[in-house]
Amino acid sequence: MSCYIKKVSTVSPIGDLGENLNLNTFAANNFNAVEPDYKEVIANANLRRRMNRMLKMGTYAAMKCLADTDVDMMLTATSLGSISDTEKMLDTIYSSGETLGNPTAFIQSTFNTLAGNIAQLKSTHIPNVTFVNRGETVANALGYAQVKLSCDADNILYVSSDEKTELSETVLKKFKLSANGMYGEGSAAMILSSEKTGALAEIVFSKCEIDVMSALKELGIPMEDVEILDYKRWCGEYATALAFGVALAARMLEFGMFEGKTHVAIEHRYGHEISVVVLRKC
Amino acid sequence: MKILCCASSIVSVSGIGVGKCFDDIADADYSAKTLQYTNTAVDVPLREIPFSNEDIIRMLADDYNVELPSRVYTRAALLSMLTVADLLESAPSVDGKKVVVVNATTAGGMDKSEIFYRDFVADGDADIALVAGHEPADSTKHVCDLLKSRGADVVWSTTVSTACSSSAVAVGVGMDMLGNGNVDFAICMGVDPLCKFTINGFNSLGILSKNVCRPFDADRDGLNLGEGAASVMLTKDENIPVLCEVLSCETASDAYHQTATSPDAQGPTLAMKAALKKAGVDADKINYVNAHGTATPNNDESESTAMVNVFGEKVPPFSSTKFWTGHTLGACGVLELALSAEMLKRQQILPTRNFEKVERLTPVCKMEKAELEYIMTNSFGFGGGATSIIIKRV
Repeated sequence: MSCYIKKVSTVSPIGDLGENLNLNTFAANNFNAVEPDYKEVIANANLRRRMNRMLKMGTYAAMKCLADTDVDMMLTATSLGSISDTEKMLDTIYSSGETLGNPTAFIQSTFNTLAGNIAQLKSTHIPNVTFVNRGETVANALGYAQVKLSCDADNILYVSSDEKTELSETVLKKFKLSANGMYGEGSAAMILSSEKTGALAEIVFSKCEIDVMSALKELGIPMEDVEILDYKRWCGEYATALAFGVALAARMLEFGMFEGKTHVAIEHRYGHEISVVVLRKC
Repeated sequence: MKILCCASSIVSVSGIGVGKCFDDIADADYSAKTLQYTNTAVDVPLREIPFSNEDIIRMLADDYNVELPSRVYTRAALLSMLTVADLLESAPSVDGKKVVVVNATTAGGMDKSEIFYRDFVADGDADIALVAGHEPADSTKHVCDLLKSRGADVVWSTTVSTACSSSAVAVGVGMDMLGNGNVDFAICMGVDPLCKFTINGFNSLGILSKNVCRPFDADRDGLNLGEGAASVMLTKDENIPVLCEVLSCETASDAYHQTATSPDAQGPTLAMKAALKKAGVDADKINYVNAHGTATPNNDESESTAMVNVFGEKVPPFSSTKFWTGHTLGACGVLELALSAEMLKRQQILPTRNFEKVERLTPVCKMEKAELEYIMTNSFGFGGGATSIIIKRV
């Protein structure tokens, strides 16, 4: 099952990893995503205005990746989806005593709206699947991508996105999901391919309910060949943060930043959930 | 390699059981029922599952030997466990078997989250346990725990959400994981409880009928929401009794609008054609189409166009069962797959009742005996996702 990362783009607390690696920029902004000028990829002003931040961040990263690439499948992933619109919809329900609706907020609360938006903007009829499996959703989607690339897809767009709101951050803090109490947000998109040419890195492992040491043992990779990436200091904690870690690791491998290492392991602990992705240098 | 369906379960307005739901579609009084458990001010017919959450906890314990620790459970989690507990009654043993679980939902634990939100806004704080199950993954975790308690080795599990095609997509993901891995069984399922969020959301779009819905009728005026949970078990083992073979499950994107299907039905047409191609079945071999048939003006018009695009002048007998089950959203794909498999078994076509006035295509309107070899079942959703599944009699 060959699954190569060809390209990445992110909207993150340290910007678009596809453009720059600002690793000296520690998040002084409470791990809020640094949002780009969306006009570049979402030209329609009305659409931009309607879209919440989760959708804009995800659409931006996806469209950057798709700028010069055709794919035959799209996999999206999210934890809370368009949570800001979910809150707006609930607000309307209770403030109106169920007499008024908020169609835009309701529609955008649907978890696969990001996939629908991208399909419309690209006028593409390719199949898509949206994974919504909390802290395991990124590893699920990347594991599924490995399977699809081995049977009936050559190139896949992966994109995940999660936004934070005041309420969602309050709730996540109550659940103590972050070791350091810092909650982040952002999107990460990647072009995944069965073909190696020009690849940044290869995904050789993407599983849940396993820690990094067990994963490396399963793969039979000596520890001295592996860098374990501490990535959350750049993106903060959120359910789909693993995708940021994978995108970051791919770019760092591209730039040869792990001297003497052949692999990078990216572990994601989120509450009781744990998942691991391992990349191999190309 | 064949992918076979070896067990199915439906929890619906009919209660528990595929056969019960099947028989009700054929015969039951389909007029609107008074709600018992759904708390909403929106006055529309809803197809509610006839059990309270307390009933479900008691049934799980008494009828299925599933004892739940005392805590807050979302209705989605309870219904998910109920359908899988029921599934396991007729399924091969999962003890020691490698199992994949692919669950699907649109609302997840919203029934409890909306209470949390109400209290939080009113009081500045609320019981955090109410949102512990907010995310769609929560139901899936409970199902995995149930399966592990029966000795299953759950090797991969996930939750997908592609609006009303969610559980049909879950079937496709399950087929892929079963077909390409060291896996014994894939449990593909969907669940959606009724809640204020969904009811008010659909109401705000103006697509809820005030009456029992009329799929494909010229005077149809919208859908009825329903509550549902359904599951199927897929296997590669040809030596165990099975319900049907699942030949294909293919998806396409309509890429037209977030809530409406395109007038030329590109997405549905592509999905149906892709499913036929993958199945290696010519269009004229399809004996029956279980239509998505929501009874919204847009869906049924577009789906009719898609059927004509695919089948030409020889559109096979088709019907929509949503006049009885309601539109169960994330559950409908698997729920209708289970009904379709039952149709293959009984060699009977379930009708669309409450149909009077022809617009373009006429569905099957009363129970029909038929020689059924191949059935296509469709699910379309917000975001433009269209999925078609083709099953074969064994």
